[in-house]
This record gives sequence, structure tokens and C-alpha cells, in this order.
Amino acid sequence: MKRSFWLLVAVALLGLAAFLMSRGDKPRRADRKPDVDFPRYQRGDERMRNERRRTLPPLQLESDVPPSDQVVKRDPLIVALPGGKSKSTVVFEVAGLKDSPVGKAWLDCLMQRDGKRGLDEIQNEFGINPLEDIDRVAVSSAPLMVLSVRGDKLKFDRPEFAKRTFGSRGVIYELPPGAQTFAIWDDSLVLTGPNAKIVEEAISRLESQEPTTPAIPEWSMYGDIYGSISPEELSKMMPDAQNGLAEKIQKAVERVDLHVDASEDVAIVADVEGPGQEDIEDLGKSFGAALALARVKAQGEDDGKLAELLDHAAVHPRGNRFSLDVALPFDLLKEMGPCRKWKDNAADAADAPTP
Amino acid sequence: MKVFAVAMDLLREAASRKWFLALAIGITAVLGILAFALRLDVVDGALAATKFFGQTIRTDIRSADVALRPVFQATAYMIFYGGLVFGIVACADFGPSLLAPGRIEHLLALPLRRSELLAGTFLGVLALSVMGALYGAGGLALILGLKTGVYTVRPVLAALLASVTFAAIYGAMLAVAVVVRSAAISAATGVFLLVAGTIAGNRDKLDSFFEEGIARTIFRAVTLLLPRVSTLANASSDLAGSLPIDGLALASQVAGLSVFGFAALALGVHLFEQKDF
Repeated sequence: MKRSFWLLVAVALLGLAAFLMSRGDKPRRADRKPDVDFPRYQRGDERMRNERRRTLPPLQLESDVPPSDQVVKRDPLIVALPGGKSKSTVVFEVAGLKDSPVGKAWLDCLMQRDGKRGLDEIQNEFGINPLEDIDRVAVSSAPLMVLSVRGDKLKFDRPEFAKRTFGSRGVIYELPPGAQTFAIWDDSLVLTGPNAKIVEEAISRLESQEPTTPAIPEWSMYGDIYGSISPEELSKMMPDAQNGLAEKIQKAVERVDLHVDASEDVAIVADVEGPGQEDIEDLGKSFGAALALARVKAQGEDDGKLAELLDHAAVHPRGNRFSLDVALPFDLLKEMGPCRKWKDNAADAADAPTP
Repeated sequence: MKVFAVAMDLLREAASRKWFLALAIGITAVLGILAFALRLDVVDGALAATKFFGQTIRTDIRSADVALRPVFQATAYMIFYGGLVFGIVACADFGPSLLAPGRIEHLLALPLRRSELLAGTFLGVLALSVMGALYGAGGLALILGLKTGVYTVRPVLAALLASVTFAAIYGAMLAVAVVVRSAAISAATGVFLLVAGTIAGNRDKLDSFFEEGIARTIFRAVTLLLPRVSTLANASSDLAGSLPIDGLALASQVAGLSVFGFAALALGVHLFEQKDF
């Protein structure tokens, strides 16, 4: 027995080692990487979709050689929007967003809050199912909102609205004149703004033969949300703690192109451009630092998912512009949705003492 | 205490060997190059620019620890596998030289148990590997910390995982050396365990290559007993890169490897006590 003591110890320890090591056999990195697909270029299906949407005839330019039909046919929703660097324009692809996790969550919350009232009202008044028939919603800081609707389903017949035609294909509705204004153009676009003048200008753009700079260039139309944000608007979006960054944006930035993919967690790419390379480089570093701090804060607050997604945050400098990548988790955006205030109020009401 | 005395004796012997002098010079050279040639421009925790020997090598701006993650991960793999290979080759001779004719008789004449002699050798080699890992990984973490403001002990912990793995492998090398008294066979045992342990670490993925039945059962039974070298290497890389790890699974692996090392040592002691010199 004494001669075999160490052998018995060895066998017992080997058995224990095998047990312990087998307990540690686990699939490595099993699906723990968040799925983040940063929208950086137009995909084939998006290019084809954009081509299908170019239904507005080409401009009748004074030229002997007729330009290619493929190139100059225009997208009416984009033409209706006012151009210019001082205005923000964002397009929401409703079809893509309503099937995305965050879109579904926001929609569920809106339906819960409004009891489907808003959707039913649109269905009753315009004869369309907003979830099925609205293709895109474009919002401009002009301020103007344009909805593009599939097919020829749009119909509006409410006697209390004053109705008048404008241009060759536009009909403007007002109730009472000056209070609520919207227009239907060619049975495919709904245009709404704070006054009739803005809506009339949009219809004029649609029917004009004057060449204009589009609010969003064709090559930039990709992602679930896309558009451009003016430096003023972007600086206003900055939280109070980032006042310094907001000032730098106002000073250095000329244009910000935005592209968002919401198919899983939300991935945002912002292309920031300005006239001065040094200022833009400095701003890029400031954004990088702000994102690094946000990540450290998320780690400190034990928000593992946000911290992990902020791992993807990066600034890619390219001369007088840079590309900013940020990914945000679905859980965070779900809470930041349109029902946030409603939920907060409901929670406050529940906490209030009953008499 | 006698065990520590044997271990100290082994460390003195190691200090006189060129292998370890070369290792110390190599690690110092790499750390020196990083210290003087690497320039990192960090703004509030974000790595804005990196220059190596004056050449810009990256332009993306991102959190310094995220940007440095591939560096830490690659270093962890290098320390892990490089350290194991170096340790296997450089330490293979300690066991056989302990048992060399003339020396072993002298040692056995001292008031020392055979188990203390073998445990002291094991402990000495383990101390060598820990010192190498701490110097290399600790130096790297310190240099990058000074340059970026991101201080982390994770690369050091990752390097210590390599030391634990080496301890398991060296236990088996020592047991074999007791039987055959050959540095080459001792090193071959280490290399075999390194390769077999890399396979064992992927046993769940690889078992599908064997037909269901006896072949797969044998494969699983054999690999069940082997140290999961590749699992520890991956954990070491994840740890160095600040990636999330399953702490319980890792603790179980580390405990298993340590116990494997002691099991091999116990087997070596048993074989040593059966031997006549």
C-alpha cells in the first residue's frame, strides 16, 4: 500500500482533473458577437428599388441630344423636398423599419398607447393601411413632411376641408384655411406642412422644369433611414454635457450624411464633411473621445450590451471629412422610442398615492 | 523548505544557461523597441493615431483599449504558444540532468525525500515560467499603459494562464524523464501534449469527424484526460483583449490543469521511488 501511495494519488488526481476540465468544456464565443451591419454603400436591391421609384419624367432641357431616360428620370419624393445645406432631410423606409426589431417595438408601443386609433384614422380618412401602403416618410426641417403611398389607393373626401387644385396634379386641403394643410399629389404623395405656402412650393418643385439640386443625391439613398442633417440641427441634438462638441460642429461642419441600418441592433454611419481639414480632424478626435467616454460609462454602469456595441464605434478620418460608426442596442432604443414619455407618466401615475 | 531549496538551486542553474539569458534579452529587446519606437496619440481615452518608427500605421479613431485589443490578443497567443514551446525545449533537460549519474547519487545522499527533490524541480521550473510571463506581459502592459493611460492587468493574467498550462505539461515531462532520463524524449512528451492538448481543447467540434460508436467514444475518452491547451490559449487571448469570458468555465479549466500537473508529478514521484540508483 505504501509503495502505491503516490500512484493512487496520481490516479485520483487525474480523475479529478478530467472532471474539472470537462466541466470547463463550453462552446467558445457562442453567438455572443452582436450582429452589426454598418450601411456604407448602396446594395444591389436598394439600387433596383431606387430605379423603380424614379417615375417622374425627365426635365425638358434645351439640348439637341436627349439625355438617357434611365439617368434623368426622377424620384418624386426626393424632388418634392427642398434642397440646400442649411436644411435637414431624413427619409424613413417604412417597409424596412416596420419589420425591424426596433420598428416593431415602437409600433407595438404606439398601438398600445393609442389603441390603434391613429392608424385607424389614417385608414378612414385616406383609405390606406399605413403599415402596408405607405412606402416612405420624408421629413424636412423646412418644415415639410412627405409620405409616398403605393398604388393609387389614396382618396380623401371630407366636406369640412376646403379643397382646391394647385398645379396640374396637386390638390390642397385646408381646415380651416391656414390651420391644417396638406396636399395630395398625383394620388401617390401626401405633403403636409405648417402652411399652404410650403406645400405649394413642394408641388411647384414637382411640376417645375427648372433643374434643382436634390435634397438627397441618388447615390446616398440606402439604409433603413437616410438623409442629411444640417450642422445647426446636429449641434442641437447634442446632450448638454457635450456643449463643446456642439460648438465645434457649428464651426467646422458643412454637411452630415446619415445612414441607419435597423435590421438587428441599430447601426449608424454618419459622414461628416467640412471645408477645413484641420477643424474636421479635430472634430473627429472629439467624437472619438466622446464615444470612448460613453463606452467607459456604459461599462461602469454594467450595461454590457451597450458597452459591447460601442466597441464598434469608430471614426474613420479621410481628409476634410470623416465617417463616424456607432451601433446602439435594440433594448436601449426600444426604451428611447416614441412612448418613453407616456411610459414615464404611466409609471408616475401608478406610483402616486391613491386617496 | 527543502522543496524551496531545490527550486532555488534549479533557478541558479537556469541563470547560468544561455537559453534563459537569450529569453531575457529577447523580451527586453521587444519591450525596449515598443517603449522607444511606438508613439500613440490618445485623446480622452480614444486612440487617434499610432506611429511606429515614425510611420503612421493606423488612422481610425476608437477607444484606446478597443484599438489595442488585437495587439493584446496577438501578444497573448504569442506568449502562450511561444512560451510553451520555449519552455518545453529549454526546460526539457532539467529532469534528466537531475537524474544524471553522479549527481543523483549525491542528491539522494542529502537529507531529502525523493518527493521533495522532484517537487522542488517542478516548483523551480514553474517559478521560471511565471517570472518570464510576468516580465514579458507585465512590461508590455506597463509600456502601453504609460503611452495610452489604459492600465490593465489582463495581459498579465493571460500570461499566467500560459504558466498554469506549462505546469501541467511539465509535470508529464518530468514523469517521463524519471523513466527514460532523456531530454529529447522529455521534450517530445511536451510537444505531444501541446499538440494533443490543442486537439483536446476542440474535442466538442472534432468528435463529429469520428464515426458514431467506438471510434468517437475512444476519441472522447482519450481527450477527456488531456489538458485543454487550446481552450486556455483562447481564454488567455480573450482575457488579454478584455472580451467577456465565462469565469466559471475558465476557473474549472485552470483548476483541472493544475490538478493534472499535480497528478503527473505524483506519478513521477511514484516512478522515482520505484527506481534504484
